[in-house]
Order: sequence, then C-alpha cells, then structure tokens
Amino acid sequence: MSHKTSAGLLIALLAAQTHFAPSLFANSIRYDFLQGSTTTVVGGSPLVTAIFEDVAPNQVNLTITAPGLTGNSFLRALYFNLDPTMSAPGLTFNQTASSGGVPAAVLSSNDSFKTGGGGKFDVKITFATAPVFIAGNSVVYSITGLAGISAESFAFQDTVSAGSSQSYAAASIQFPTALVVINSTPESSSVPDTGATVWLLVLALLALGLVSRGYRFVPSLVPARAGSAR
Amino acid sequence: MKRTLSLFSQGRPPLNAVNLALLTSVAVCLAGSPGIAQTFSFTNSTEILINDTGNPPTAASPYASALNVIGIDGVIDHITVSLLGLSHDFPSDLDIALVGPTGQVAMLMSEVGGNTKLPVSGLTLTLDNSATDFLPIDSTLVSGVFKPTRQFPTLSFDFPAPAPAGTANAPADLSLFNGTNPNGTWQLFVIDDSSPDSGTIASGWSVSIFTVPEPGAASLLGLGLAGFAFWRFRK
Repeated sequence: MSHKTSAGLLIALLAAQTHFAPSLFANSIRYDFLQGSTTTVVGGSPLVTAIFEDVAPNQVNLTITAPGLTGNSFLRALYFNLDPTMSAPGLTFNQTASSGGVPAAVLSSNDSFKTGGGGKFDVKITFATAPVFIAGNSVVYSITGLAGISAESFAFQDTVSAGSSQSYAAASIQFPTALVVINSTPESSSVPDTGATVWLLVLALLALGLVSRGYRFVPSLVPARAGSAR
Repeated sequence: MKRTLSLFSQGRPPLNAVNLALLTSVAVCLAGSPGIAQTFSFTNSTEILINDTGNPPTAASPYASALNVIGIDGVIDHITVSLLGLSHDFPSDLDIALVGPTGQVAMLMSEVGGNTKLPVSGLTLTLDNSATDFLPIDSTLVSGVFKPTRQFPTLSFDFPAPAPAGTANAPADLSLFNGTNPNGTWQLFVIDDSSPDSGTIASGWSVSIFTVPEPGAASLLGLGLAGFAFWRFRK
C-alpha cells in the first residue's frame, strides 16, 4: 500500500468517525432531594435521587431511587419539567427495570401539575401507597417519543407563580406527620460515551499500526527512512 | 275594690288607652322579633375577565367588580354569593374574595378545583355557609352550592391593591357579614396566582342578602309601650 493510499484511507476514516460516530460524551442530569434546607449532599444520603441520562440519540433513561427514605417516610410523587420548546404529551415512558415492584403512574402534559400551590410542571410520576417506595426500591424508565430529547431536556424550571420561587424538580414525600414537597436543582455531568470510546480505540490502533510501518503523518508523507533522498 | 285586668267587657273589646297600649306593644315586639326576615338579591352581570400574565398574581378585569346595595332596612342575617358562568383552564389558580360595605373581607374560594389541570366551563357556584359540602380541593369543580373554601389557611402573597391589605389571608366564612348594614358597595376581587392559564366569569356575580330588622329600636319601643300600659293599669 503506497503512503498516499494509506494517507487517504486515514483521512477517510477520520471523516467517517466525525460524521457517523456518536457524541464523545453522554450527558446526565441528576436531582438530589435533600431533607431540610440543604442544597448539597454533605455526607449521608439524599432522600430521593432522580438521574436522567443520555443512552442513545432521542432516548433518555430516568433512574429513581430513595436511599434516604427509611422508617415511615415514603415517596408519593415526583415532578419534572420539559424543555418548553418540546411537547410533553409526546413523551413515552417505558419502565425497563425496577426493584421492589412499587407501581407508579406517569403523566406528561404541558404545565399541568402543581405540587399544591406554586408553579406548574410537565411530568408527574405518582407512586403507590401500598407497597411504598423507600430505600432499596428503584425504577428505571426509558424515555422516548420526541426528536432531540436528551437529559438536558429535563433541566428547566416550572411556570411562574405568585409567592413561590421557580423550581426544576420536586418530590412529594410522605413523612409520619405531614406531606412535604422538596425541590431540587439539577447537577449536570458528562461521561465518556461507550460508542465514542470504541471509535477512539480503533483510531488509536490504526494510528499505531501505520506508525509501526514507518509512516509519518506530515503533509508530504515522506517515508521515514533514515538517509533516503526524495 | 278588686281590680281585674280584662281585655273584654260584656263580650266587646274596650278601646281604652291601656288596652290600646298593650296591643301596640305586643305588635311592635312581634315585629322586632328574629323570626321575620326578608331576602334581597342584587346582581352585577358584567363579565369578569380572569387575566393571566408572566408576573402573577394577576388581577381580573374589572378589579374589583362592584355591586351597589341600597334601600334595605335591617341588618344582615346571612348572605350567599353566586359566581355566574365560571370558566377556567386551571381553577386552582384562582383566589376570589368578597369585601362588604362595612369593610369585612371573606375568601370565597382559593386554590380549589385540582392540583392537576382540570378545566371547567360555564359553572354556577353558590357559596353558602350553610351548604353541606366544601368545594373540592383536588378534583374537578362542578356547579352547585358549597361552603366557601380555601386550600391553604394563608397565602405567601397578597391581593394587589385596591383589595384591602391582608385579603389573601381572609377566612372562608360569610358569617363575617352577619349583623352588619348591607347597604353600600360590595366588591368582588378575583386574581389568578399562577401562569399561564386564564378564564372568565361570563355572567358576573350576585349576592343574596337575608335580613332581619334591627332588634334594638323595635324592642325598646315595645317595652316602653308595655311599661306605659302597666302603669296606667295600676293607676
């Protein structure tokens, strides 16, 4: 294989990777619902955690756990907002995994759910009261149905209401003496995407292979042979 | 000489001063008793537009909707209030308060009709302390007669002026108006406390006022006449 042919092959591979490969990083949006007025997790566990994670184009996974709900407290409902440029009724939630088998109902409709006063959310997930959703339970939903849906699509605030601050997400938790609504703010993180990692590995191996055969990646692509003249 | 008090002599009622005073005092006392009530209804049929903005609470138009009451003798025994033709996409956005002519403030309905979007159209709601049921907190509103109802005892915001300060925390209780003078301007204040839904009260509102004569003046007159009659008898 001539060096020009190899160079052309490498350029073609790079172009294909850029065009066809998935995003190098998958985003996730995490909501921790904390007891009291704290807004960061400092030791201990949040009462409830909800994580939206990009898994594929136009597909997001939502994982819900309640690590801090023990004793007589349990999760009643979760509220989320959708990117206002998208239409909440178009969302499809498929439960793909669960632990504990707590039934839950998912509703999605633009600006349709209040926690009781306050602004309006687009998604409401209501959990059964028997059995109840507590520590040790989990549920995973695959969310599809809207082009362009991503984890970031669930990092928006509810509608404006008098006397209340806007909120990104809320959890309605039944404590022994009262039903309490706890708000949360999103934490965004990016992790290397599995598909992109494979691509990078292939490119790296190809590059190593070409280098090992004595080719240098310079515009002139002169074979690296000591003492040779062009 | 033994005296006897008799209204009749030889089968005919004597029209002397004593008997006339006695009869008059009894009639006046009866007229002043709580058992005789009258009912008056007043309506403002102008549509109330329930507006919505990005800066709630949003006042309706008009704000307030006024209703003038005149010519009623006596004081309020009790009142009922009717909202005529209520439509709204998210009724729990609504807070509706009534201010009476002498300054009493009562909340008619606040944050009722569902925490989920449950639109209503063309309802007639009558608020009456003596109703059996409260308005539903977390289900669809329907036409009918209900007790004044608020979901929360207080709100974290107040009604915009010119509603009296503290209107948002007024009790859901129409008995506040009992015993007051009904004549004057009654005001209905309607606000929407959450965007983006709006509505209307298409046919306005009405107030039904149940009155009794003021007990003080009538009873005193009756007692006075009875006292005069007794004095005359003893003489």
